[in-house]
Order: sequence, then C-alpha cells, then structure tokens
Amino acid sequence: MSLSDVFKKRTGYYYKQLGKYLKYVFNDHFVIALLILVGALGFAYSDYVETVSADAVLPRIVLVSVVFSALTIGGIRTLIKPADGVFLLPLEEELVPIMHKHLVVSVVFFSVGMSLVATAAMPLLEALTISETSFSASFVLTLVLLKILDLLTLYYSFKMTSSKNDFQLIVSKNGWILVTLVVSIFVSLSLGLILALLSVIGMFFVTFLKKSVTIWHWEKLIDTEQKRVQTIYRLINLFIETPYGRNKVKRRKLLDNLIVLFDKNTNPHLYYIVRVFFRQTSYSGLYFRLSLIGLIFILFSPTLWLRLIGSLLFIYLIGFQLLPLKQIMDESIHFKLYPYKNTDKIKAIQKLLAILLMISSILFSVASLNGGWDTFGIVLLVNTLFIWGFVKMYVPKRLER
Amino acid sequence: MSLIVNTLTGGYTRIPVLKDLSFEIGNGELIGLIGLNGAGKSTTIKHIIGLMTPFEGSISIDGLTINQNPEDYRRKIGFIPETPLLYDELTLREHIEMTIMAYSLDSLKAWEIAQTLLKMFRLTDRLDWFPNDFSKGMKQKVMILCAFIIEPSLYIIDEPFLGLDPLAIRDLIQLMVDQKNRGASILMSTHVLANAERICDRFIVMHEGKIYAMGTLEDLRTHFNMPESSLEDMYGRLADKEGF
Repeated sequence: MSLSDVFKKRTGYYYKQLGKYLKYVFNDHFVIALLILVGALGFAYSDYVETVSADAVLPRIVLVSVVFSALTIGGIRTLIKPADGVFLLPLEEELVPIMHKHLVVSVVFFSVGMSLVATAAMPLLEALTISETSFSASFVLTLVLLKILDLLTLYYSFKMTSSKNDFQLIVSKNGWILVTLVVSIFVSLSLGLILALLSVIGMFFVTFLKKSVTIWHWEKLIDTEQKRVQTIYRLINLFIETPYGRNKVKRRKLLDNLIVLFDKNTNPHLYYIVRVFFRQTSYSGLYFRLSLIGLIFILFSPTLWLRLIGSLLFIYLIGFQLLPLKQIMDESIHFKLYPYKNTDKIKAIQKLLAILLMISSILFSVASLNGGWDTFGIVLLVNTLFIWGFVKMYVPKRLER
Repeated sequence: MSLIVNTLTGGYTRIPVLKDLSFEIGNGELIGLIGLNGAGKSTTIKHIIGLMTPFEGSISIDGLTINQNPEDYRRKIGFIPETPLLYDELTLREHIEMTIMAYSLDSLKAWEIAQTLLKMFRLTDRLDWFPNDFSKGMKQKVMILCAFIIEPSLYIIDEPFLGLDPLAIRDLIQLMVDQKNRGASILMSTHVLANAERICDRFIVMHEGKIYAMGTLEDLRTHFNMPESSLEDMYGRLADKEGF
C-alpha cells in the first residue's frame, strides 16, 4: 500500500458517497422547484438585459460583485482527513505529487464553472458594449485565470513557509482579483486579461519555482478540507439528512430573546425543540435558506398562479424537512423518562411549525405585493388554509407512526 | 541529547502563546509536562512535532531540525494526541498498515511488536473492526499501539491515561519504561499527577506559556521549599499561592 493508493481509494470513496447523496437530491421534488426558479431567474435576466443602456454604471457594479462572489466559491479538493495529522506526518515529500494532482483536478473543475459564469454574463457584456461581439473569449479566459490565481494562492498557503502572512495573502489576492475585474468591466477586457495573466505567472513562480523545503501546514490542510466538505454536505442537507453537518450547534446568544417568544416555559417538549431549532444549524439554516429562496422565487414570479404554487411548494418543503425534530426527541433518553405522552411531542412540533410556517407565509405574501393587494390577500389566505391542513391533519398522521 | 528546545517563542496568530521556552530531554529520559488547562502544553507539543512554526527559537531532535529534512525529523517522533484521531473507514489492521507505510517500517518487525501489543491490550480479535466504533479507552489503545510500533527516538504523549482501564494504565507505564531503557526519550503531558510522580525522571511546570519550574521531584521540593510533599500537594498549594 502506497500513499497514492491511499488517496486513490479515498477519491473513489468520496465520489461514491457524493454520488449516493446526489442521487437522492436529484430524485427530490425540490429539483423541480429549483428548475422553475432558474427558469424564472433566466426569464427575468433576459428581460432586464433588454432595458440596460450602454453607459449604465449600476449593472457594471452588479456584474463585478456577482462575478467576484462566484470566484470565491470553491477550493482545492485535497481529501485530507483529521487523522492524517497523526498518521501521515512523515510523508511530506510523497504528498507533493498528490497535492499537485488535486490542484490540477480543482483547476479543471472550476475552469469549467467559471466559463459557464462568463458565458452567462455575455448578453449583459454586449448590452453594456463592453464587448462588441456576442461572445468574448478574453472575458472567459480572464475569469478562468482569476480562478486559477485564487486556487494557486490557496495552494501556496497550504505550505508552512507562507502561513505567517495568511491574512495579508488573502487580502492582497482578493484585492488583485477585484482590481482586475474592475479594469475588465470599466476599462478594457484585454487589459484585464493581461493583468490576470501576469498575476497567475507571478503566483505560479512563487508557488512552484522558488526553491524551498516543503513543510505542509497540516492543521490548515485539515481545517480547509473539513470546511470544504461541510459546505458541500450542508447543501446536500437541504434535501436529505447526511451524517455530516449533523449536530452542529451554535450558541447564538442574540436569539435568546427570540426563543422566549416561542415558548413560555410551559412544557419541556416545546422548550427543547425551540432551542434545537435555533441552535442546530441544520434546522434553522434550512428554514432561513428555503424561506429566502422562496422569497426570491415569488419576487420574480410574474403571475398569481406561479406565486401561489411557489409559496405552497416552499411552505410544504420547509414543513416537511422540519419533521425530523420529532426524531431528536425520540432519541433523547430524557423524553423517555419525563411523565408525558407521545402526543405531547407532536403537539409541540405542531405549535412550532404553525408559527414558523406562518412567518414564511407572511414573508411570501409580502413578496407578492407587486401584484397588488388582491394578490397579497389571496396568497396569504391560501397559504394559511394550507398551513392549517398541514399542521392539523398531515403532521399528526405522519408522526404518529 | 535527544530533544533540544532553545528559546522557543510561538503561537497561533501574532500574539505569542509560548514565551522563551528552553529545555532539553536526554536519551532514556522521561519528562512530565505539567500545567493547568491553557498553560501552553499542547501548543508546545505542536511546535515540537512541526505542526506550527516558531516565531523565534529552534527545536532539534538528535541534532536535526525540521527545515533540514522534514521527513527524517518526523520519523523520529511517535505522537499520541490527547483525543484519539482515527480514520472512519479503516479497520484496526489497516491503521497498523498505514503506520508501517507512512513511517517506512520493516513490516515483519512492526507486526511482531504489534501482535504483542494487541495481545496486551486484548485487541487481537478486533483487527478487522473499525476502531472508530470502539470506546474511548480502546481508541486510545489503538493510538498507543500505532505510536509504539514506530520505535522512534522521541515519544510525545499528550494526556495518555484518560479513559484507560487500570490494567491498560499499568501496561502503558511498563511500555514507557521499556522504551526508556531502550534509550528513547519521552515527553508526556498529563494531569494525572500521581502517575507522573511515579514514573517521570523530571518535570516541567508550565504556566501562562512560560516554564514556571523545572527539575526532579527533589528539585521541585527544594525550589518550592516543601520537603516531603507530593507533586499534587505542591501543585495545589502553588496554585493557591500564585493565584493560578
């Protein structure tokens, strides 16, 4: 068994796991909602492009910020595990070719991603007369190079020699990326391309050609990879429960005041699950994210029907995915000891769900206000009826088993 | 001299956690690293292993620093972390194989030692199980096993006794004594002062990133002017007096 075999095995296992979870994600009805959302966004985007005048500044600023945020997504897939910090310590040199391979894989993957982002930006570039043609290869190349710069900097920071200036390194890299983007969008695409090219050459030289002993910054490698994997699983957790990202608890002291509003210390079940909901990132995060996506979806929906379908869909999704809160109570030894019945657990969940779903429903109704007060009223009424049915009839049936 | 730490200053960000540490561990010496939580014991250990770079000062093992040759430097260290760190998807056997590969050990010899240790820790029939499903004490045994098959010149053992059953504690102490007699140096951080007092040759007492006191039990007794007292007594009274 050699180190490269170990990593080959890990790669296989990683993609197998990911594939297994992605299969569930793509089976989910949520994907349909996402497709509709993408469709609606695309529709809105193409409408918007037609109204843009050639010398407008705001769309340029938006473009720079959107592309900049897209560039910060994604790191190097290193597949380093916490135990490596003990077991693989003496394999510094052997790790180098493996890390090179991981860097190349990530570069290829994100180059494709950035090309897609660049392509999506093309109609806007043309409307703003930044590019004269409908497709600008130099913009695609600039974005790909900037992503490579981002990954190279990360790779460089994995080495011990650079770790002292980690913060400055990140700030100057992001600054450089921002400057290059601003130059590309506001001055000239070719000048931006030259800047991007120069920075990648420079960073390449610093990372690979300067002679020095490689001492890996194991703790940083481990931390970065843990965070990366958790981000992926947090996304997947929107659809199904995975063993990762579970039990992530944050104190969130500020929310203590909010918790009091939900629960007046009347029964232990509500007391507990309200706190679980706010402090376990998987639940509150899911609620806030789905509410936000729903809000945007409804905001961009042009007709009453779409708004109604959207709001009902998102309310259903939120409610449905909060049901595992019951399992948390079932698994806890305390709730077996307390002198309460099973139905009390369900009652607690019903109460929490009713409040949370009503908040979302009010948000969604407000988002549909641009259709007038009638629309607002209809959406709110239908949502309230739906929530009543969901909480009073569906939830007890579903949880009693 | 096996381990030499010379005027080490270091920490996580710009603010140093460790301030001007200097100490040495000779061949065949067992040193106890003692201090309250947050005194800087684990940070010291991380610097010695080379997981952190010193701001100032140097660390060498058998005359070799990490920058001269990281791989050879790391092969000289057997490390047992405070909390067991294991691979979710590897069996106990595979953990041993991984160690043999990483430290380029002679497979036959390493397995010979491993078999003895497996028997000692009553893990022989668990070879094909996932250690991550074991109890805390059994996980710790796996970490101990993987460090002892390396037979390094320096052992760094962070809080080894927690979670171990009394038999395992006795066996671990015996293992450490055997390695000492072989000429290996051991740096052990622990809160179990009774055990430390029994087996350590010398002690390093750390407080707020500095070495507060250093020496044999006799030295410490003289230093604190507390003859006949145990390490626990000294530490307790010292802590009260100094407001640790």
